[in-house]
Amino acid sequence: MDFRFTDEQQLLAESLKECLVRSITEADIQKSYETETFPMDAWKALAENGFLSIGAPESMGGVPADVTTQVLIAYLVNKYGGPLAGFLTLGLTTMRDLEDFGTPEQQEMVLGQYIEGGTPMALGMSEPNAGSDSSGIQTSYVSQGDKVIINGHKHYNSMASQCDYVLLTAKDAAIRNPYKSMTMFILPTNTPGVRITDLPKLGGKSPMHICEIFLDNVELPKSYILGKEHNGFPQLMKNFEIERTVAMAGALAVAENAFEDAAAYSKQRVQFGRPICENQLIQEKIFHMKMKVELMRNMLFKVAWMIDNKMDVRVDHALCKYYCANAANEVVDDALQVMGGVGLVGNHRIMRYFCETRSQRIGAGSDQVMIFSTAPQILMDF
Amino acid sequence: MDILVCFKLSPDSKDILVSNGAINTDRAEWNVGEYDLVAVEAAAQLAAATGRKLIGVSVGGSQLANTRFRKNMLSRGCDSLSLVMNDALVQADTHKTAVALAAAVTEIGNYDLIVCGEGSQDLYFRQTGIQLGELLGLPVINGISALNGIEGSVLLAERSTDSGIEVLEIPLPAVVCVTSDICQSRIPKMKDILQAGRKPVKELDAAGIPCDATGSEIIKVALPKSVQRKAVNFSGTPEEIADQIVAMLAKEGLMPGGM
Ligand SMILES: Cc1cc2nc3c(=O)[nH]c(=O)nc-3n(C[C@H](O)[C@H](O)[C@H](O)COP(=O)(O)OP(=O)(O)OC[C@H]3O[C@@H](n4cnc5c(N)ncnc54)[C@H](O)[C@@H]3O)c2cc1C
Repeated sequence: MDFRFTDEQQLLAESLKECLVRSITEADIQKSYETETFPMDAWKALAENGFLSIGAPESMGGVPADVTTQVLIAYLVNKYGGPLAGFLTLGLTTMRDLEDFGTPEQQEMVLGQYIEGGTPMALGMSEPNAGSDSSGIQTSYVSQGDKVIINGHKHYNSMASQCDYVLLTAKDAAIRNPYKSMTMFILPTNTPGVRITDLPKLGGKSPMHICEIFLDNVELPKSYILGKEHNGFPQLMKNFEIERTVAMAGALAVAENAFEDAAAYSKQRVQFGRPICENQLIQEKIFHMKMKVELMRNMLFKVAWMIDNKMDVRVDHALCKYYCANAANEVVDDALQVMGGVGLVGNHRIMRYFCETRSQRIGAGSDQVMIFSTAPQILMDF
Repeated sequence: MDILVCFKLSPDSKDILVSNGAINTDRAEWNVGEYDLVAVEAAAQLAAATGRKLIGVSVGGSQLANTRFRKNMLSRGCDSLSLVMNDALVQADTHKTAVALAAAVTEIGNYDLIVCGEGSQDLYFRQTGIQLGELLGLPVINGISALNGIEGSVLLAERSTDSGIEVLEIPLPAVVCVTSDICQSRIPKMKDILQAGRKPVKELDAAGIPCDATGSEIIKVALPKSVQRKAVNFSGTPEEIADQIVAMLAKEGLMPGGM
């Protein structure tokens, strides 16, 4: 067993870190939160240095990469790039969808602009009546020759108002069985009949908007169907495996940053005449935070490695999603405790982490969904 | 003709631990310092602009066998590497290094320009490039702040000084040492990183390279103890102040040989 990254992965990581450190500072990140604008210049810098084309088809100037490398990239962009991770997480997830299910024309349409520093595809699945139950969608379409007409309402869609495309799920109004009626579409957000608005969220101002999408008689050519018509549900399950894995790279990065901030702070903050890190109660937190960060890393990269080796990750990706989402919340909470008022008042990044990490236990499949969808599969072995 | 660029593999300055004035590099990762990476980029840009090949050259110990180091340098615009590995060259002084480099570049041949960095990240003596030029009997100029091109057998370069910019025409072959701000080091792209493993690396036969030239001998590298400022104010005429300072230094035992 070898836990080391390859030479190439290590060099890529160094190079990406250097690019991020040069193109976005903590001050830039804070400004992007205040103004609620995505830092497009830094995003373009990632594109110019070729980092957005990693994993894209070679025919489009992309560079082949396995999931392990993509998860490594997601981890680094979350660790050093702040909100850049919002676009990257969507980009990496939907790149896989396009590669697995998309036609060359669709890949060119969406990824062509993406790898040059354009926008990723947002995810349009959740609806007011379809959260954890993603098969319960009511957004539907009717076929008219070689086009479809879509009507419905999506919500909680990350960055949809900032993206040029949305990966949309809708069901064929003519079919009852929800598992056999769902189809995925590539929806250009400037299509007539599409209206996208921003919703307020925990933590307040953010450069990563959470949106609502209203679809009013939206006409799309059938060539915008991603994958096979009526095959949306199994495609969605595949999407989730990658989406959750890439999202947990963010949980790891944020937990690690929070831990590092807290550890450094504990050595420098003096109370009762000595640094607070000299108290066992603080050391216990340092120990637990470090342990959880390392466990998250191990689980995350093991799942990535399993996907690369074509292993079944239905159980493992859910264990990883549940563990990382929860451990990240625990680590950030402990880090905040160590930092005291600094974590609650002012503008330390731990404040952002505290608000944003909470959604990891709800989005992309909640804790409860991970458990009830996976426990029966675990039990099948016995 | 090819362009050669020299760089040193050394303990990463940010991993160096200092305790009781002693410098401990045991836990340091070995890499090529930022000043040398800048030199590689300046040379790579010149090579690309003039359609020449760029060969990376380094002499050192067995650390040079590290494949990640090799791929790193090859992802930064070097077309190939030529290395001399001999443990006698680990942390060698500038003279020993320059003698080995001179023999190495002579064996490589077919070059008319050698680019060196400003100084290594660990010891930063800024001597090796200058001594290399002297040993090769070539014109050598340091402090080069721009490499503007090659016309015929003349290198067009610039050197920033306090009083202005010197515009230089340097007859080739020559050795130049570039400043640490001549350009930014490269951010290697994934494609370059993947291709790096396929580029040639030549290990020169160390038997033919003098690796034990005697120069100075480094017995110990240590940091001066940090001491509190004395916060002494001197006053009087300049002559009186000078006398007071000398007396103060003597009192502190800082005038070896005595006054
Ligand atoms: C920050 C953020 C970003 C998001 N981004 C996107 C996006 O880009 N695109 C998109 O389509 N969606 C997105 N979502 C939506 C996300 O996928 C849903 O929030 C998630 O699926 C849960 O749905 P819900 O919020 O409606 O909660 P509900 O499904 O209503 O669940 C409420 C509670 O009930 C529990 N519960 C539900 N069913 C069961 C059960 N059978 N057994 C036990 N407990 C149960 C849940 O675990 C939860 O605790 C995002 C959400 C958040 C918070």
